[in-house]
Amino acid sequence: MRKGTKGLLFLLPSLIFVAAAAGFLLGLDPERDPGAIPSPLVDHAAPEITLPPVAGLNLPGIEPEMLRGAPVTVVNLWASWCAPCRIEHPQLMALAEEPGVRMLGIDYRDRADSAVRFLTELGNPFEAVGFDVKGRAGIDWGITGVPETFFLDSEGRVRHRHTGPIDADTLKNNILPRVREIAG
Amino acid sequence: MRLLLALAVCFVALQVPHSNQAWAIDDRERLSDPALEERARTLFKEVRCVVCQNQSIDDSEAQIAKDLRIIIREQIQEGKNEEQILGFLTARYGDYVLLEPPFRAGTLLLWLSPLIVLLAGGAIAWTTLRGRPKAEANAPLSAEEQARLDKLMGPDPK
Repeated sequence: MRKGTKGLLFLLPSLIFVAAAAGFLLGLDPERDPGAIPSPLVDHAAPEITLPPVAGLNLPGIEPEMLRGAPVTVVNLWASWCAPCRIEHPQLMALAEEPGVRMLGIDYRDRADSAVRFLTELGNPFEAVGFDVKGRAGIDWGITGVPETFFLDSEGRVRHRHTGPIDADTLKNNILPRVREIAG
Repeated sequence: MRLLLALAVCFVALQVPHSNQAWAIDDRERLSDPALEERARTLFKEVRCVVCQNQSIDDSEAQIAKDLRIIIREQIQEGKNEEQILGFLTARYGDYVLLEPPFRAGTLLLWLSPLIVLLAGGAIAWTTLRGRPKAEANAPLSAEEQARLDKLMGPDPK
């Protein structure tokens, strides 16, 4: 019996090494973002939100039923004061061209006149934009900042969340394949 | 003596703002009922400011921390209990929003690892010590050892 335990003790350093190596390997994964916070919304129904329209934009606000029905509904939280949103905007314009995609915007803690100027200047990819002047809808979606983008299936379930701006590379390699997968 | 007094005054003056109010708390946000305000403040200390990694919303000036404080105070005024309010927050931000992770299947390893390390260390110490022969401090020297000792000590100087 003593001999048996001794034999196992010999294996212990190798086992510790394998466990540590596995840990390091996971840490080295270039796809892994240590700052990413997992969203509890993914694979759950999107929050039911009703938001008024942005004054002067001539687009409807957000109603809960808009979050269902389209093959893919993209909900983008943005603001005119948000510089990364400016960088992201051409990608949203491209996403709006994708078949089966309904684009909804939530204008987070913004001023209506600045929001209108932002979309007039850069183009409008949205079918509807809700005005979230107090940031309550932002909290309902569990955002930490703008921009953040959620991808919903036809039943209104959140299938993917992207934090931070979507750049051209991310759109091509990550977002578009996912959008097509959700659309089925 | 006067210097000492001045120092004491400075010391007290420095202590007062720290004592029971955080810098981040805006007076305008406070609830008028002190008991409800106390409950809100206790909750703030348990809730992470989601944009500042390791600060509670009680300590943070971030806009989102401010928004969360307002929501928590509103819900306390609506008569919601602590569990309901933390449930509201974790439904949106996950367990990440809690500064102390909850004890459940997924966090078992996190909570139990100190105990596991202690037990493993104890087991190693126990098997190592058990395998060691007991030291017999008072055993008499063998004839051979006595002879070697005598040689080392040299002849009796008497």
